[in-house]
Amino acid sequence: MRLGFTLLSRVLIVFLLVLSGTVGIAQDRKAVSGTVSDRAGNPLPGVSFLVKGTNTGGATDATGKFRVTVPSNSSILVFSSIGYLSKEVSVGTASILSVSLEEDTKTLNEVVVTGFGMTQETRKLSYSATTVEGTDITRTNNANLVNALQGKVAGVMINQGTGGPMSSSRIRIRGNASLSGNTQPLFVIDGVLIRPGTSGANSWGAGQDFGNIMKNINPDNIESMTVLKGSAASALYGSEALNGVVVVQTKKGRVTKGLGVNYNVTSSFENAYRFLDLQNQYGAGLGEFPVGSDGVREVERANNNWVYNYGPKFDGQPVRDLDGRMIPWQANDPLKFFQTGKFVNHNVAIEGSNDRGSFRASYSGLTNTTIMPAGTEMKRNNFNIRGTQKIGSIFNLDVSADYTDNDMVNPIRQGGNFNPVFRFVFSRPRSLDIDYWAKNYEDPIAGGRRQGANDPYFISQFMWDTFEDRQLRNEKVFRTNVDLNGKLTPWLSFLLRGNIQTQLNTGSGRQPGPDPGFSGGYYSEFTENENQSRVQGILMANHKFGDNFDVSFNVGGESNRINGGRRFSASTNGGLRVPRVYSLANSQNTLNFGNGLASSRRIDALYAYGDVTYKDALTFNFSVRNDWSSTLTYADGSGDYSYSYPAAGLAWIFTESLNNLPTWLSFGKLRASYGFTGGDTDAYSTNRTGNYRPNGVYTLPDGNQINISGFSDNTLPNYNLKNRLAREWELGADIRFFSGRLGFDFTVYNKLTRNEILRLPIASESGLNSQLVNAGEIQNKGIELMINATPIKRGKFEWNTSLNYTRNRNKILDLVEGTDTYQLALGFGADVQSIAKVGEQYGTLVTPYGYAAYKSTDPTNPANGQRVIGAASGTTGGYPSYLRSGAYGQGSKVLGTMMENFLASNLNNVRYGNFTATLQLDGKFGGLMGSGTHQYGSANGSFANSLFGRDAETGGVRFTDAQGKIRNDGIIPEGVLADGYQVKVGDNLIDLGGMPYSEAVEKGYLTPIPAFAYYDNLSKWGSGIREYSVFENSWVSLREVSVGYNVPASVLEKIKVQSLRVSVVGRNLIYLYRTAKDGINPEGLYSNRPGEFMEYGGLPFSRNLGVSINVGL
Amino acid sequence: MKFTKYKYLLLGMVGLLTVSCEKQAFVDVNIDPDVLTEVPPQNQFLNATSAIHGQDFEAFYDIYRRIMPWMQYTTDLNGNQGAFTQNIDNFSSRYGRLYNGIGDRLYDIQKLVEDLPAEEQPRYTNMIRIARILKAYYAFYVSDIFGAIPYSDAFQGRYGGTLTPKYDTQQELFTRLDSEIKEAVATLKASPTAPQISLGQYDQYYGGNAQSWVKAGNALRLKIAMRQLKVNKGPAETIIKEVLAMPAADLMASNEDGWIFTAFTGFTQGGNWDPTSLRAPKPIVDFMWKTKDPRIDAFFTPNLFTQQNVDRLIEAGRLPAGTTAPERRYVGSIPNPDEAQRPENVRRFYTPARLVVAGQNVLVDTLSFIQPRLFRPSQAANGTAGNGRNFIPVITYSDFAFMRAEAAALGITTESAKAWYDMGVVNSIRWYDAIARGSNFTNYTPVTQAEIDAYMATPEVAFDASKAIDKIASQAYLHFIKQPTEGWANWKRTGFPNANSVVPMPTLTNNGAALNIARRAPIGLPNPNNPNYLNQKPAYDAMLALPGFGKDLQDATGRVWWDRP
Repeated sequence: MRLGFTLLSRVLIVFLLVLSGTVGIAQDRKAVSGTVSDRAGNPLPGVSFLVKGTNTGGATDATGKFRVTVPSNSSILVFSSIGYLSKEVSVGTASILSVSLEEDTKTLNEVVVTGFGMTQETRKLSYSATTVEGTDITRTNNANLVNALQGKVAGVMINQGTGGPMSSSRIRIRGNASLSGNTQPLFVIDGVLIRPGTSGANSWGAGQDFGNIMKNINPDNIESMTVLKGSAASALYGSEALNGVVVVQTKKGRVTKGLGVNYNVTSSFENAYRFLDLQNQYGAGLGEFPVGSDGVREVERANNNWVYNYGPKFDGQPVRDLDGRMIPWQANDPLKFFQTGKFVNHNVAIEGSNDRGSFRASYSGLTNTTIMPAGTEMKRNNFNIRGTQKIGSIFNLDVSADYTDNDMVNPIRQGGNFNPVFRFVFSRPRSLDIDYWAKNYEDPIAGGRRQGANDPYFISQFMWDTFEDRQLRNEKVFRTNVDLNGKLTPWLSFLLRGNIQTQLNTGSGRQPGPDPGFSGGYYSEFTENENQSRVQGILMANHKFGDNFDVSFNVGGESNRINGGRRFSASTNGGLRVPRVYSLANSQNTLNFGNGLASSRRIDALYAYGDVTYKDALTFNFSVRNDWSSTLTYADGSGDYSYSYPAAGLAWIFTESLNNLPTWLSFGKLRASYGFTGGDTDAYSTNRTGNYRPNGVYTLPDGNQINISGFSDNTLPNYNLKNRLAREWELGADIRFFSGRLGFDFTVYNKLTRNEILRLPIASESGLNSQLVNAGEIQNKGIELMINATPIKRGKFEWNTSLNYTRNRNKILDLVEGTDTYQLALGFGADVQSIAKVGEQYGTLVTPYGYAAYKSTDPTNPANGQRVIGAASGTTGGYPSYLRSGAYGQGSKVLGTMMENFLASNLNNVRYGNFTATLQLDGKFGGLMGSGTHQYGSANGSFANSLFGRDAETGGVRFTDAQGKIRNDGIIPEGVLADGYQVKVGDNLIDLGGMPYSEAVEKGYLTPIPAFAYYDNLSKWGSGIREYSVFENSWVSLREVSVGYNVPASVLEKIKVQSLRVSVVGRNLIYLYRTAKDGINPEGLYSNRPGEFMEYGGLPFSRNLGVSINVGL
Repeated sequence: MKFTKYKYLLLGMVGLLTVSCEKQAFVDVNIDPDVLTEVPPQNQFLNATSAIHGQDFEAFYDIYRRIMPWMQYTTDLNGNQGAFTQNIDNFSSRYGRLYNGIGDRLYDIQKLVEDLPAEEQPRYTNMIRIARILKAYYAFYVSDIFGAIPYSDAFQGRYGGTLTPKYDTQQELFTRLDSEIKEAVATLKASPTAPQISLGQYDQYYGGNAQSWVKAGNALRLKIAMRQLKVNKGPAETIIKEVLAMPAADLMASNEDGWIFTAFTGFTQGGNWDPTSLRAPKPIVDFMWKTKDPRIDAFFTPNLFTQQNVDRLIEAGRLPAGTTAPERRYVGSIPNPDEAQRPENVRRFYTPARLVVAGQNVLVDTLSFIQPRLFRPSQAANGTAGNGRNFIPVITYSDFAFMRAEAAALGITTESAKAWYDMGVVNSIRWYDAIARGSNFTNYTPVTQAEIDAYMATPEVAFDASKAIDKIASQAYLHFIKQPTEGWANWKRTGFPNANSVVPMPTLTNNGAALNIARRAPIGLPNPNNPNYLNQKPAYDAMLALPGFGKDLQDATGRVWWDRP
């Protein structure tokens, strides 16, 4: 272990020695100026130039002009700009230069940000990396930059959050490389490591998702995002790179015309446009209207039958509601409950640059509400500065600082009774006057919310929690980074980097008392903090050996620390003393107090990486990183905490090497790479497992309390944990035709993760229920295809289109001996499980609450495989219903996987003169989701799926029920009766096992089932078949359509502005295709955990339309 | 020398990177400051006891939804529905609790003591024995409906022992438990070699009193032996005689000796304990009404036909003027599904009148409920939350007396069956009277001696040697309403009550077909991926070979080893 540190010290000593041997030489200087233009003579702004062999350089101004001091006449100026071939110009005796750059049709000099934020020529990459430009992110008018990535990068899957603008989205790159509770990639923003967490509701109840750290990142400051998908690409991040890395570059000051002030304002509106597929024909009740003593018809009250939707047909005529008001008999429109959400963002940036430095300062103020009328809002203020400065002739300083202050209110409740979509369909009739109760939930006389008979629909609690409960949260994130670059010799440079991020989260919750006189209620507060730091040093050597070999070699090291703080929380106990005064001091009883611990960890690393390029055509690159992680140490000082991750790759541009290729083949590259990434484990887990912990207090019968402590868990510790290790090979090709007008980028990869660190179940009879193991094999293999084309490029008109295709197979090859499943997520309580099972796909959904399938010992029995009907537990009216597979002794049933089959997207950019337009379609195909809204909401006849069989005209069968009443709403379920289902005919018992229900009806053994009971029993909590509400979730979304217009210079001169751009953007406009049942929102997952497959509440379908104006002064 | 400052700068960076690079720095970062490496052993005793009695899932599924309706201690709101006895979803969480929550905690007491300095260890001799008695009780409670379970090898995973414990057959287990309890009782009676550390407040049964635990241990030995009377007659009778031959001071002699878990109000506060949907059953209510059983108001609530509600119904035109509240307001619900669904019964019992009083819906229910604070003292009555204590029995003195009465009636002992029967009944009444006051029962009137005397004299109650077992078991059945799991075992063991017993338990039918009542837990099918499959499979196969075990493991109507016709 000590070896590593000695090595680190040695590297740094070498570093020092090299530095001390460097001496600058002063020479005669001369000033040169000039203009850079393209072939057509248009001046090119922003072209960077460099005096070869020095650090002197800069960028051309808005008119393409530059000015530089060169050491001598023999100096050479190098000009480069993305999209153009770089050009070297000898200064000679000239003092004014006119430089013309050639457009780079082969894009040989494309650069991409990789590794530690350095740029690398794309041509040298041996792996796939995709860059998304900042403009493509800000255009989406979305507070969360993760959502902006949707459909833009092959290999990346995004699920949008559903709790409002603050809620977290799920991002997954090339499947789940791990079974752990978070498989999201590492984000690196200006060298600061950002780890998006998981949040949201769970299967046991409602949750409000305040999201993870991604919501605190301001898209306005982003220059570009590069997604490093494969292990070879991300291996330099070692233990943190198992799930891929997204490197985010922020903007630097640029040369601008005019004042250098840029102002952007965006207003976008979100509208709910579609609700669930509800039925609008029948209102509350199970039969005809009862008639009051005054002869007025009334909503059916007896036995709480109003929860059902099998009452009279809507006729628009007056009826007396449960609370005595007269209302027209009509279906409600739940969409009216929702409001128009607003996204208003102001961004001001001031920037400038000269040949010695650059500066950019920006402010963004975002106010973002959503369709939920519960005060749901996110207000984000972000301040960002970045400056670069050359110091002397060697050092280059790059300093950035970013501060975000984010205020959030009431994320939309998901996962339970307090979500409006769920609430308005579950046990609530279609005739419920939502609008009235949304305005009249408060008791105007007694105070508090209406209760008892004044709240006959039991809806006031929902309204109270929606409109009166306030959950507030404030997050402050400060992030700063200092890069000191130096060029020691023409071939040797270094980088020293230090950064910190500090986060302070505070929040409060409050609710006025719901009881008469506003008694009760609560107020709570919490505060938590977390800090992290990273110090890094790299020594970089670049040299050209002879004409054929370009070599780059880098060594470095870093130390990362996360210092978790404590989370302190306090809440009032027993209600508020003085109603509506929200203060901890206003508690009835002694405050409830809590404190939790955020974990701390440290990872140190040493690395070496570089590449060798032969004849500009063949590049070999490699990297190796060694990590030391605190999480793999044990309290006794043991632990295998040092481990390494190597990677190597080869890129061959065959169009450079081979002659006589057809002219239509403009560029061709083949690439192959092989690399390792991995991970450590959770902080403290090596020392916490198998120990004891305080369990609070136990209250004795006399009310006194004693302290009580017990086991911290029931897990067998593992004293030999090793790091997780993933290896991945990747092959790819980048081939372009017709001067780059058509390009294909194809990748095939295979990633295998071993030594997963898991808690796996063991026989509970041993006194434990799990053991910490270090085993398993998880495979992800797949293909990614990107097709880029410019079908039209004529005069002012240009159309670029690209197609992304992603297919990943995420399979579990092995767990540990004796175990074949691992639970990833739950739905409907624990009724449906998302599991990893050996030999199956990740996220296989299994449930003992599926339809039981009839099995007889006689293989020819036609009943085999049919759904089984029997005496299901807890059925309404005691009617037989479908039996659950588990209850019928068939155990759990496999329903399929939640993982998608493939993803596809199409992005189009059209330019016509000063107009630009974008159109994006993206689609997900295959993969199951479960819906609590569908299951429980279907039970009472709210959905259109319950229209069949309600009466004679909808297919109901006529029969006489046990009470002797003749009914027309009989349904004869498809399926056969369970073995052991007996009826007594005369004195004989007859076993109906295997008999179709229809036959049992024909023979008079059983009656049809009234429609309301049939649907209720099929999907209600107590007897429902969960399989009924687990379905394929495929969709194609018209994700984005935008049109922009650049006001021409001739107009701008008159209004004295430098630039003006107006654009209109529509997001999430419509689903062109979707398979989610009965109008369930396909983007409705209630958390962003990796195994999540459940919707429970969700939201109506909504779309955003916005206008953006960008002014440069 | 312009570069000197850069060297300092770099030296500074080197310092930053190499400072505290020792491994110890990493080790220190990874230590959770909140972790405890040891705890006082008595903590685990309390953890285990609150796990035994604090199982809201068991209350909801096993007790309220399964055993109580099966045993006709209660019915569904509208009477029992359909083939309700076939519904065994979520039945029995006790098995899992033994291994994670109870047995492992109690076993850990011994292990925690072993980690103490040698001179400290003798001070925990009694604590270990008391924990062992409690562990034996719970292992018995689990095996009682599961049959063979791992025990002798169990609980050892945490200490480097086996992760795949073998199964003990029920016979082996019962024998082993008896000898463990016998040893514990003997040790508790012996004078200790060192002053003992008492469980004190961590013991919610007896406050750590060793002599009380001697009585509890002996009662438990008796209970386990009584279970085996049919299948293992000789050894069982030997144990019974041995226990009852103990000095009087070692045997329960009053309700104060009872093995009862006492807890604060909030212990059963969770929603799963809510008993509001539990109807009083017609057979028991009718018996108690007829015999003027003093416990009737401790067991059940009166229906809502108060004079006030009757007057309101008159006002609403639902009852003729001049109607008075009925004298009998204890009315039971029908346990038999076919009966409950008869239209005349639906109309008569299951269609409560609804009134709106002062803006509030009032339901005038014709039927009685289970006394809400019998199981949940915090239950609100008239808008006021209860604040009484919880009393959750393991072995009450009545239970002990009924066992003695039965042993006498069977001729195993020469004691007076009548005397112990009377002792059982009277002390049951007194015990319910005590907990009714301790738990602040609603609508409760304290018992008088006159009521008891009158009750004991009624023909249905007075002891009758010609049907001694029927009398004893029927009264035990009533007594076990607070402990339905024992009521169930009592029924399996004695065959009483039944359709013709003193307290009747009518046959249940659905669509005319008799419903079979479960006698054991449905056992999960062995999964080859279960890490303990190699032990589990043969143990289950052996049970399947037992007569009457059922058509498969899941068949809850089958019988475990001790349960003989």
